[in-house]
Amino acid sequence: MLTMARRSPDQGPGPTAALTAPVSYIGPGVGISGVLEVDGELVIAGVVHGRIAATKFVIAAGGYVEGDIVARDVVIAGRLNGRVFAPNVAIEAGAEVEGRIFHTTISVTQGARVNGRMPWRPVSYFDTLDQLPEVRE
Amino acid sequence: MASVISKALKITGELESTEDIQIDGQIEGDVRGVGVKIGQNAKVKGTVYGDEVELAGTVDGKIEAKKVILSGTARMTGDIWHQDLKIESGAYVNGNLKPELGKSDSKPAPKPVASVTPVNTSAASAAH
Repeated sequence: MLTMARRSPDQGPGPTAALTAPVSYIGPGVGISGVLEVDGELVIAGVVHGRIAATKFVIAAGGYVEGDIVARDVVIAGRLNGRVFAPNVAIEAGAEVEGRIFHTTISVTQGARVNGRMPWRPVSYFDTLDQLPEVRE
Repeated sequence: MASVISKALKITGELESTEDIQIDGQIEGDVRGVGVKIGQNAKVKGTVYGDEVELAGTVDGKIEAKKVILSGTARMTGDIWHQDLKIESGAYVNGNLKPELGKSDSKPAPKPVASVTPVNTSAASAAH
């Protein structure tokens, strides 16, 4: 699943992704402020300020997100300022991340810039994550 | 590649785009785009601004665009400000249609030019 997600930032939704579920793609010229909820994959190459809930979430190179992200799989190749709540997180080379990353498994590729904490949580933590902790140390 | 808001995506907030965008999901809030296509199952609650808006789904709010196309499956509740409008048979429209978008848009630009030239000519004639 992660390999599929990793391909997304470079190629956009590939044929495999298109078959399984429609992919939402926010292009470089698009800016959104607010809450984004998707039952599926969301790829962002534009700018989003707000909260994001998705099954699989990708910040493509050039994309920027400011806010909280809740997903099962998160791939970051762009810039993020905020918090991530996801059991599987991959941070690609060239990514710039500032904030906290709550994860069960994480990979950080050499070349990524990460400034913040990466608290580990068991998978069950994400299953019961209905509401985001508003303030968390 | 144009931006796609798939049918599984729901956005509560504002969306701004400098490129074409396809909306198949739900948006609660305003949409500002260039070319905006709203698919058959899409729902937008808010104002849709654009150069060209193609509606096949539902809009509850307002459309402000130079060119507006409502297809047969469109459901529009609210006003449409346009320059150029096409409504296909079967579309539901409940609201006012105002063909004056361009007038209010283009007027502010020529006006300063028009007001500047008379001043110059009168100044020139006064010099004579």
